[in-house]
Formats: sequence, C-alpha cells, structure tokens
Amino acid sequence: MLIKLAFRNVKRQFSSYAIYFITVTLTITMIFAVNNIIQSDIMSLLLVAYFDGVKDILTGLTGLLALIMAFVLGYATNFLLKKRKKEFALYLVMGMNRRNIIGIFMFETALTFIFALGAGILLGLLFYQALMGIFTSYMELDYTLSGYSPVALLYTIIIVCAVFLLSSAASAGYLKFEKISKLLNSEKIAEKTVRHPVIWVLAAVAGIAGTFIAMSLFIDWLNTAFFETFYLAALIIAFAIASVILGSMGICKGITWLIVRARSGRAKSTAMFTARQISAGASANAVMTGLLAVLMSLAIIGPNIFFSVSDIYTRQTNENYLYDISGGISSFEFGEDIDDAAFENTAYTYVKEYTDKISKYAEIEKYAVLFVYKQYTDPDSYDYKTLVKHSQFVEACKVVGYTLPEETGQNFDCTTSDKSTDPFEWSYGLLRCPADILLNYADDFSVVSDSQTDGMTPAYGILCVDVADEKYDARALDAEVNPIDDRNNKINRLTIKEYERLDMLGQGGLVMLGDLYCSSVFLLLTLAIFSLKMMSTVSQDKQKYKIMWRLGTTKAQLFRSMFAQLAFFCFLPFIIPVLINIPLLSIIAFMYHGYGMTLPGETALQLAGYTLSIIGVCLLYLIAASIVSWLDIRHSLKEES
Amino acid sequence: MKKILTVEQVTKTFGSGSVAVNALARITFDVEKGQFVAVMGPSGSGKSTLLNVISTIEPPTKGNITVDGQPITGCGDNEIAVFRRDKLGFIFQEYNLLDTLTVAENIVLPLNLKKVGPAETAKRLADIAEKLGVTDQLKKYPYELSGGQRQRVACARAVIADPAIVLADEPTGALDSKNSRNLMELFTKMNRELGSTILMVTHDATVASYADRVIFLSDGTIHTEIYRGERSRADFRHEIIQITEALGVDCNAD
Ligand SMILES: Nc1ncnc2c1ncn2[C@@H]1O[C@H](COP(=O)(O)OP(=O)(O)OP(=O)(O)O)[C@@H](O)[C@H]1O
Ligand SMILES: [Mg+2]
Repeated sequence: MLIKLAFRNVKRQFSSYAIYFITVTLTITMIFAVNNIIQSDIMSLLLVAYFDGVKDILTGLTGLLALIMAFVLGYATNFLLKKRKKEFALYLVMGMNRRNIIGIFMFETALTFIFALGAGILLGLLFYQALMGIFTSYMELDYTLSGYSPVALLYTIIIVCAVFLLSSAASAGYLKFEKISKLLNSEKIAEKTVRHPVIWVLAAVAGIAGTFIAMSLFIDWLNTAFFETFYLAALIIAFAIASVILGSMGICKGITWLIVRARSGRAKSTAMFTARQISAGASANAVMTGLLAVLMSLAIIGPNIFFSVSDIYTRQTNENYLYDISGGISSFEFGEDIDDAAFENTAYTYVKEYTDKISKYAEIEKYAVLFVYKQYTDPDSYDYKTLVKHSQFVEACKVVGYTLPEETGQNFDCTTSDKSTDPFEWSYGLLRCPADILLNYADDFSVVSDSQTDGMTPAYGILCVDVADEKYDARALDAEVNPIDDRNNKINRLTIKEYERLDMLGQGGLVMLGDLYCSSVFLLLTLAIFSLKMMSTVSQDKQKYKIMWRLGTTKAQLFRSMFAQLAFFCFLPFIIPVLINIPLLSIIAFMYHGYGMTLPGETALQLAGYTLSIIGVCLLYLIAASIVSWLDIRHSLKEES
Repeated sequence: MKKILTVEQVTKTFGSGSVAVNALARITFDVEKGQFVAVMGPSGSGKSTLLNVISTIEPPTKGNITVDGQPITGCGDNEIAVFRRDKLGFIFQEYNLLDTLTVAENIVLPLNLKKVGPAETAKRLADIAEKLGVTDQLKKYPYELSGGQRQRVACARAVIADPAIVLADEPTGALDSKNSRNLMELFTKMNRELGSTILMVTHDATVASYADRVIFLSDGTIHTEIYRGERSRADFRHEIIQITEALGVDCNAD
C-alpha cells in the first residue's frame, strides 16, 4: 500500500522528481568521471613523470567534489521536501504515523536515486571520454578510447551512496521531529529589513577587495612556490572563497536595503511588486548567491590562468630554443690530442647517425654543422677568442631562415641577444644574433674566412636542424636519441624544441586537466542549483501572480516582472565573477611581464571570448528558464480561468 | 437608480457531451449602484462560478454581462485586465495579500497599476486606512497580522481605487464568528460611507443578513431573492435561515 502510494506520488510529482533526478544524475556524472580520471593510465604516467604533490591535489579535488555533491544533493532533497510538506502534514492529520511518511519519502527518493545512479554512471562514462579527449589533445598525445576502471566505479558508488544516506538521514530527522503545524504552514516569511546595512555595504567592498588580493597572492604562489607548498595554495583559495561569498552577500543585502529605502508611494505599475520580490529574494538567498558566485569565479578564473600559463610556456620555449633540433659534439669525447681531420670525421659520423634517426620521425628541411674554434690570445693565459668558419656560419643562419647579405666581408664580430625570437641585426659592422645560435657555448664570437681556421682543431661541433612545420612524434624521437642511463637521467645529446614544449605542457597539463574538469563541474552544478532555485521560487510565487492578475495586471506586465526577477537572480551571482575579469586581465598581463613578454592581443581576445562564452551559457539559461517559468505561471492562470 | 451590473441569460457549462455540467443556467439579474448583495445557495449551486464569470476570471458559455455600462464578453486579454483594474475590487477567502509587500504597499497596488501619482496615492491611502481602521498596521507585513486584520487590509485594497463593484467570495470563510461580524460591520461601512457596490458569496446566514438583498442559487439558477427593506437584521436573518432550510442546506445559523 505504501509502495503503491509512493509510486503514484513519483508519477504525479513528475516535474519535481524530474529536477531531482537531473540534478542527482549530473552530480554522479561528475564524480564518476573524476574518479575514472584519477584511476586512469595517464594519471599514473603523469605521477611518475612530474611530482608527488599530485596525490595531494587529487585528494583535495575529490574531497571538494564530495562536499559540493553533499551540498547539491542536500539542496535537491530539501527542494522535494519543501514541495511535499503540506501533503505529508495532511497524511499525518489523517492518521498515518511518522514512520509511514518517512517510509514513503525514503522510498520515493531512493527509487529516483537508483535510476539517477544508473544514468549518472552512463553519462559519466561519456563525460570522462570527452574530458580525456580534450586533455590528450591539449597534451598532444594520441587519443585512444581511455579504459574504465572498476575501482573508480566502486569509489563512486561508495561516495555517492554515503552522501545520499546522509541527506536521507537529515530529511528523515526533519520529518520525524518537525511540528505538524510547521509542516502545514510552510509559508515563507519575507525578511522585513536588513539590519546593519552599512556593515553589509562594507562587507561588499571588503569581499571584492579580498577577492582581488587573494588573486594576486595566488599568482605569487604560481610564480614562486608552484606545487611545492600545496597547503599555501589551499589557504589562499579558502581566503578567496570566503571573500567572494562575503562580497556577494554584501551586494545582496546592500541591494535589499537600497530597494527597501525607496519610498513605496513612488512606485508605478508593478514596479513595487517586482522590487519587493527581488529584495525579499536577494536577502533570503544571500548565502546561496555567494556560493554560486564562488563556483562561477572558479569556472572563469581557473581556465584563464592556466591557459595563460601554458601560453607563456609555449612562448618561452620559443625564446629558449632557436633551432628545431640541435646538439653539441664535444672534443672531450675524442681525447686531447685529436687532430683536425679525425675530429671532423667522427663529427660527421655522428651527424649522419642523428640525421638518419631524425628522418624517421620528421622531414628534415635543412641542417648544418658548425665547428667552434678556440684561439688563445696568449699561450700562458686562458683568454681566448671564439671563432667560426664563414661558410659554416652562412649555412647555420640559413637553417633559421636568415641569409647573410652578400656585401658583408668574410670577417666580422658577432654578439648574441637574450631571446631566440630576436632577429638578426647589424649595427656598425657588428652582427647581433638571436640567443642560442652557438647553443650555450659562447655569447661573443667572430666569423672568419675558412682559410683562417685551417689546421686548428675544433673545440666542439654543433649540429642544427630545421624540420618541416608538421606535427611529429617528438616524444618518440627523444626516447630514441636520448637514452636513459642507469641513474634515470637522460644523456642529452640532442635538444628537441618540440619535445621541450611538450614537456612544459605536461606540467601545466595536469593542472589544466583538474581545472578543465572543475570548471565544467562548477558550471553545470551552478545551473543545476539555479534550476532548482528557480522552480521552487516560481511555484512559491504562483499564487502571487494570480493575485496580481486578478487585480488587473496584464500578462505582458506580469511577464516583464517575472523576467526582471529571473534576470536579477541569474546575474546576481555573476557580479563578482564578471568584475574579477578586470584584475584578472591585469594580473595575467603582469604574469607575461614577469617572463619578459607583453600580453599578446590574440591571447587577451581568447580570454575575453572564454569569459563571454560562460556568460553566454548563462544568458541562454536565463532565456530557457524564463520560458519554462512563464509557461508554468500562465498554466496556473489558465487553471484559474 | 443606475444599474452597475447586469447579468443576462448567462450560462456556464463545464466539460462537454455526457460529462457536461451546467454550473450556471440562464441566470438573469442586475445590481444597482450602492447595493450590497449577498449570494447564497447549497454547495455546488454555482455561486463561485457566478462570481468568477462576473469578474472575467472565467468566460461565460452564453449570455451577456455588463459592468458600469461596459460589456465584458468578447474582449481581448489585455482589455479584460484593464477592465478588472479599473472596475473591480476583489476580496477572497484567503491568499489575498502579497507576503513580500508591506500592508501599505499591498493596499496601494491598484493605484500603482493605474499609475496614480505619489501625492494622490499617499492621500488616498491615509484616508482609506483611517476609515477602515488599519492605520496602525501600514508598516507591517501580512504575516504579522491576524486573519481578521488581513481581511481588513484586503477590503482597503478592494475599495481604494473606487471600483464600480467589489466582489467577495466567502470573505469570512476563514474567520471566527466575532471576526466575521467585525468584517461585515466594515462591509456595511464601506457600503454606506464610501458608497461601494458589493456582491458577496457566503454560506453564513448571519453574514448574509448584513446585506440589503440576498439572491439564492440552486442548481445554477436563481431560486429566489429577498430584500431586507426596513426590517431589522435579526428578522432578515430569520427569513434567510427559513429559505436556506427549505433549500435543504445545512447552513450556519450561528
Ligand atoms: N473548473 C471546473 N471544471 C468543471 N466543473 C466545475 C469547475 N468549477 C466548478 N465546476 C462545477 O460547477 C458547479 C458549480 O461549482 P461552484 O464552485 O460554482 O459551486 P459553489 O456554489 O461555489 O459551491 P461551494 O459552496 O461548495 O463553494 C459544481 O458542480 C462544480 O463541480
Ligand atoms: Mg464556492
């Protein structure tokens, strides 16, 4: 009998249960996907390759998610409970005992929950694949369908069920002990006035300032203590979260105060109704808004920062490495007394061996060999001049796409600048070359006619290679040419620019993965919470719209009023996250500056585009929510007629 | 006397075919300016339906209704809204007030909707609040009031914009007998001093006895109607009880 009643209830309360179902499903999707990522091969690969701090970060992430999930699930259950209060009170009045109604509610939610668990796990599988797809393409690894982990499944079920049982216990407690009169009389009591308005305004200012301070602290941490002091980052993030919540609450309460201060006599048409609705909502939902603001801020800040970091890494790699592939051949390898001819022979053997290996992976467009000579100015001292052959230097320049002007003589002096991206520059007979042209062997050197070095033994040789601008498997090439010795160090003979870039990306990639994941989680959860909030608000307010309608408000006026309310609540949590973009951009510019770069316009545009797209998603959501809510309200007006 | 409300041959049918219910069947009557009319009848006799049809919340299936010279049948949604705003005042059994607005804001809503200026609004608010005895409650919120006080506020809102007719569906339904009597004193006062025309549905003979005229509905038609004339309220109530008993209604004869 109770089971039948429960089934019938789920059917009848379809829309509420649908929302509950969707929310729970989404949450489970997230949890399952992250657990899969943590258990995946890529993760263990990164763990070996990079640092030990990863474990802490991942544990923190799962903990954070479990917390958010508990919050969302609790909220969803509370939403259901609110809608059913009156009905349960009636059952009680009719003579059912509390055990019965708790049984009904538990059965209904458990039923929905089990379906949501199934759906969530299915969706989670897809979501995980999509995330891995994005991640591997970012890391420029080959994308293969990632394997699923039974351990992840087990963890997910344990976490999710634990949270469910917890929230069930809470609602059971509520149903067991709440007074019948309270259940029956669930009318919301609007908050009259805001106490200490000045303090709330100050709180808004302090919150916003605190957010900005936290952000600059975070950047400091990124620059100095990246991954070494995880607890410090946790502290900074906690500070930021507290600031955003405080700021949003301050804004909410401040607005309530401003609206209440407006004299009621002045209101025209539905303005007073709308204003009062907004102020009551803003005041009652201050904490909620704060939490949403945090989620949104994280969704915006995270990817912005990490996108910039990886952009900086890429640019920095370009600045540090002039040649696509380069390597040095030291005379140490041959002993002290090797002669000119023997050195050249051995060097060219190496060159042949390397270029053959490189050709297996990438198309060589051009390569050159450059011998570096040391000419001691005084046999008794260590002062010497570094010389290179003119003919070889011309070829090396061509490898990086620079042709020496014909009219220059065979002998001239060179110096190198700080960055590999700087151009060749003549001034007063001196050639300024980009950094790295002689790798790190010398900063100043002279180019001399070939005959001048006859009979001298080179100190070392440099191989520089230009490969076609296509993607190639730099990781495999590195593994082949740079074997690992007994002590797990690479015996570095060839420096592969592409490999260095990938290696840099790898470090950012882990963070990027976590962040990508978090921002999608935050965005989706924000929208889930929004929809719950919206649904319960609209169903609570239906009666009011009916009264307004009876008093002679036109449907157009009602719609405008409702839209204003929805828009307000949709955008309130965005005030701080959107404001954050101003300091965010300047902080990012500062980051670039710290690496000796200026923020490139295209990057700034990409960042702005990202923020805009998040706001766009929310706009779409607002429009959808308005339509759904309006249909709901209009339906209830029709019911009336 | 000027006719404020005319109802001609109004029929309201719910559903169709074999399940059709004639909630109202060819009802005809009119109400003059300044009249206080009560509508009584057994449960399901069509009282609420009649009120809803007059208040344009439901369209009649057949027949014509005119309020203050304006026919209300065959208008568009917006014209109907404007009509309600300008011509009608409402008082319901419950859910009258908006809980996010203060009492004062609730009362002036109709004026806001009509875009009456602030000075005029303040003047009328003070005037009505004084007359209906809610001056002390103006700054409060609805949840801070008792049921009786809430109905007073609803009355103030119903009459502040000087509607052609005030419609009330069981306004005392949620009140005890003392509060019911107080509310009816207030209705009488609105009727006498403000000249409000009132059409009220009630189950309660005592409540109905405050009216000038009582219309009895039965199965969607007018069974009979009586006028109080110069009689005392007690006599009038006695007659009402006799008729309701004849109609077979278990009426509240408190
Ligand atoms: N929306 C509707 N759909 C179908 N039938 C309806 C609807 N509203 C009322 N009815 C029917 O019309 C008839 C008259 O209903 P109405 O609500 O007017 O009665 P009433 O006199 O107000 O009764 P009560 O004193 O119990 O409030 C009833 O038979 C009722 O079942
Ligand atoms: Mg009725």
